[in-house]
Amino acid sequence: MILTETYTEENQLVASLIKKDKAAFEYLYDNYKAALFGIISRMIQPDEAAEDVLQDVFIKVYHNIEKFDATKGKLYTWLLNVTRNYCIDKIRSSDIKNQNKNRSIDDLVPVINNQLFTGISVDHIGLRKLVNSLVPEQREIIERMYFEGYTQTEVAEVMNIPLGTVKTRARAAILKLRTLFDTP
Amino acid sequence: MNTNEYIASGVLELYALGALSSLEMKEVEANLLLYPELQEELDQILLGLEAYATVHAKEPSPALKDKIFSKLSFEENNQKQEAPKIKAQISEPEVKIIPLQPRYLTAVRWLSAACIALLFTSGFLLFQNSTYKSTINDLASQLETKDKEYADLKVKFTSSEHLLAEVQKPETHKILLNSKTGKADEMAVIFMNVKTVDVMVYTNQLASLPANEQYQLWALVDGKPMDMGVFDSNDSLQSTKKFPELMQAQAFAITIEQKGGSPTPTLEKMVVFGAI
Repeated sequence: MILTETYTEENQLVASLIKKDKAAFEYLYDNYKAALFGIISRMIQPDEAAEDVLQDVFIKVYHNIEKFDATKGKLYTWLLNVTRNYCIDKIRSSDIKNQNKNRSIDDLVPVINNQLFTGISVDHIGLRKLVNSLVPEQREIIERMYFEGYTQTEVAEVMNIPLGTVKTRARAAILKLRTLFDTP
Repeated sequence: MNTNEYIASGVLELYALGALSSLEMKEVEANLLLYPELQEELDQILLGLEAYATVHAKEPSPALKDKIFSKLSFEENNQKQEAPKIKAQISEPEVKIIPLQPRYLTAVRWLSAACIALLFTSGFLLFQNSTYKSTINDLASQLETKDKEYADLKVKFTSSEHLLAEVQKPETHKILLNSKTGKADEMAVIFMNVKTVDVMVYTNQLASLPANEQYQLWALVDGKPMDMGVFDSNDSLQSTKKFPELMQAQAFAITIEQKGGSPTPTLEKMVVFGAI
């Protein structure tokens, strides 16, 4: 995340958020809305429902920003996790689950949106290529865990593979994603 | 701990993806504190996942921002004003953050991590101990079997050695008894010491017999068959009866007789025959 002059350090931004500073929350919204909405709309459809969820998530962040621990990880990671966990809880406790049940594995292929998150300085075409270069089994594991909140045991059952294979495939997939940041 | 193996296992990836149980997560968190290289690896993994999220980025409708902000209340941008904090109109339950816990652990958390580690270690040691015990039992029974095999072999070897010693004596004659039934591989060998008149018969190339039958060895002395004793099939080496007339024997023969033997040979059941 590249921060503008307003918040040269993430902890400055966080400090302002904790003070319930409006400008800080506007900054937060403007910079992270696309990333968070992308995750949500991947998990919850239609888009109107996804927007309701983004609103819920943002209100959650507003109330719980004090719980963010900068020593543990970056704000972006925290926001992604708050979002994912909220969606997973929602999916598991509602009918949305049933609507999503009939999706085939092909549907799990991420929809690449042109409105890429602007804060990140990576080649967009390279990104797309990379995500598409994940083999289907790797992608399914990541999607099941990341977007559907499956545990390793659940993934092993659904895909009918041993637990050890779940681990190694998850690792192989993320290693591939990591090369995004290794290439200049 | 071998951190390379730990990293290669993929457990950090599952942690980052939130796919571990809460117990497994606590273990990972304890390890993250103990080994900085694990934390570095996790940071890289999280970067990879951020990239994944970024690939999925999508703009919500522009109207949403106002809708959300109308539901929140903010402090006036006045730094001195600590006064009554206005809470948001919508009160939400606490956020449940699954994968990321505060980096610090309090003493209690350290202790619980240590307890868990201890529990795992003692469980592992118990398990290992029982494995060792069963291995020892296995080895003991294997040793017993080998002991028996060794004793059997020793008996066989002693008798072979005895045979070899006898056979090598110049006064021991070897008489081949060939098949009379047409089966080429059916044969027996007689070793006779012409000085002591000890006779041994080597019969492990004779077929097995039913339980009610036995082989009987005969010596032909001056055209008369003399009973040399009975033996079961596949007894490789038999000492037989001995008597001085054997010095004049012209031939040996083996017949199949009822168990216990017969006073006279049943010639149609002659198996092998050999002249001296």
